[in-house]
Amino acid sequence: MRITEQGYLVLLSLAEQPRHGYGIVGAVLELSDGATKLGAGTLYGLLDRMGEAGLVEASGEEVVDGRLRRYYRLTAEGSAAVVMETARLRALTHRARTVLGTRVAFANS
Amino acid sequence: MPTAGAESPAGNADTLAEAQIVESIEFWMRAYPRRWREARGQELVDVVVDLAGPGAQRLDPRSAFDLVRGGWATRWREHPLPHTWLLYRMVDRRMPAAYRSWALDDIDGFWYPMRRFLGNAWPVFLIGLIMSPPRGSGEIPVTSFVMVAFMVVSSMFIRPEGIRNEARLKHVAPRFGELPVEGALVAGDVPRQRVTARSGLTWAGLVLGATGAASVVAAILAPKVLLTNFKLNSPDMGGPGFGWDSVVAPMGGHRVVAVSILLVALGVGGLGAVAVRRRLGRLLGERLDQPYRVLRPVTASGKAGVLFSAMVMVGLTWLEVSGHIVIGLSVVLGTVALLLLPGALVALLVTRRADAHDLAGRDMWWIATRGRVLRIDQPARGLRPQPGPAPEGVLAHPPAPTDSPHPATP
Repeated sequence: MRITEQGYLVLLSLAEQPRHGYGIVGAVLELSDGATKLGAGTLYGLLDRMGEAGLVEASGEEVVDGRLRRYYRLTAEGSAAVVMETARLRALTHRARTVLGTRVAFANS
Repeated sequence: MPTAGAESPAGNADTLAEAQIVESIEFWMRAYPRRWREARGQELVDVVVDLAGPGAQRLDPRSAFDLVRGGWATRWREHPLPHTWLLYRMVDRRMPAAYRSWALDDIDGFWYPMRRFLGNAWPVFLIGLIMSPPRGSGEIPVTSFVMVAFMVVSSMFIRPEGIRNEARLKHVAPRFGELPVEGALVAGDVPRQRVTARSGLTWAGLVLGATGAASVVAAILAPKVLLTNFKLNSPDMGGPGFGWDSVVAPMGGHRVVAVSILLVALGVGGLGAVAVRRRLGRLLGERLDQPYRVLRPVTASGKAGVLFSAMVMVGLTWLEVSGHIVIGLSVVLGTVALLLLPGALVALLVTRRADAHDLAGRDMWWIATRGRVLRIDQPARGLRPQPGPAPEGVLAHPPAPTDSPHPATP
């Protein structure tokens, strides 16, 4: 499964601890520095697809103030996927810095 | 003294606002498949309510669009592949296990009988299209269109529940060799569903009454009748033989015949009603306990079928009264309806009794027409949830290395 930016943020939010749907939306908002506010439809689409791919799983539910909270957590495959995606992004950032550094050097010469 | 919370005016306003936004969310959430809503709908609603914030009464357009997009994406993702879907729809090929829940949603859908009819009847429509007059020939096949539309709509009302049950058994039940999981739908004995006498007779009375009234109107007002003369060794036939000819003629004295037939039917029906009342009075107390039965009122499809029948009867009457067709069919249908109507009304009155709440329409029909109580209903074959792990050997299980090639044969 190809991991989109939104999917990566959801995986990252679950890497810290199991969260329910509303908690994931809040954690993603924080991780993205306010840039990504997931709608419920988008979130559950991502959870469905990542569940089918074996990256996340339900880890229990509770009722708080009359609201059903179902918690999700990363599976071992999910943890591996988020680590690999982070490594890929780190490598990309490194290459981007190199490219931009070269350009700045040309501009200064 | 007012306190903060649900009892206070502010608490009541919040509760009202939440009820309104939940209604709004449930409306937009219909974009999701039924099975998805049943499994996770409550969770999704609660998350959307939290995201909307306290006091929100309606879903904002962005969130509504997000729900609709998410719902349709889910439908698209879980839809069978095109060739699988075509084989299922057009030749009723059994659905692969991966799409069983999709098939169950499809079968339980309101329009399933019509979808199935259209899918199965496509060769007939194709032949009709090929054989239709070429464009520009001046003929507009209005009658053909009306006939096709009639068949398509009728398909909704011809034993829809029976068709659904057969389809569930074919497409949704696990197959031999599969591991039955607790809670999965498996084939087995289920309680037989019967329509309650009160509900069934109310709607039967409506359709019989509408048919009878329409036939009387047609008999009084229809201008044309088809007269058939039978001939045996007639001189104008040019030799010995049997034949007939038919002519369309004004009603004239035949109107009396048509009205008389209907009145006689009503009279005979009235006499039958007396017998029905006597039989019900004698035999209702002797009816048997029905342990394998569940009673339900007439379904939405059944009610729609009654309305459709009444509309068809009104249409038929209009055709006969306006002289587009000769009188005939409405009198036949009206005769049957008026024979049955008095008995149905008498039986409906009996169902008002306090001890008649557990009566099925079929009990009444059996007593009224046969003069004896219905035997005990047997369970029907249908789908039910697997109550727990399957007992060894009752249902197929995955083959162990030591098993013969086809284990678990019952």
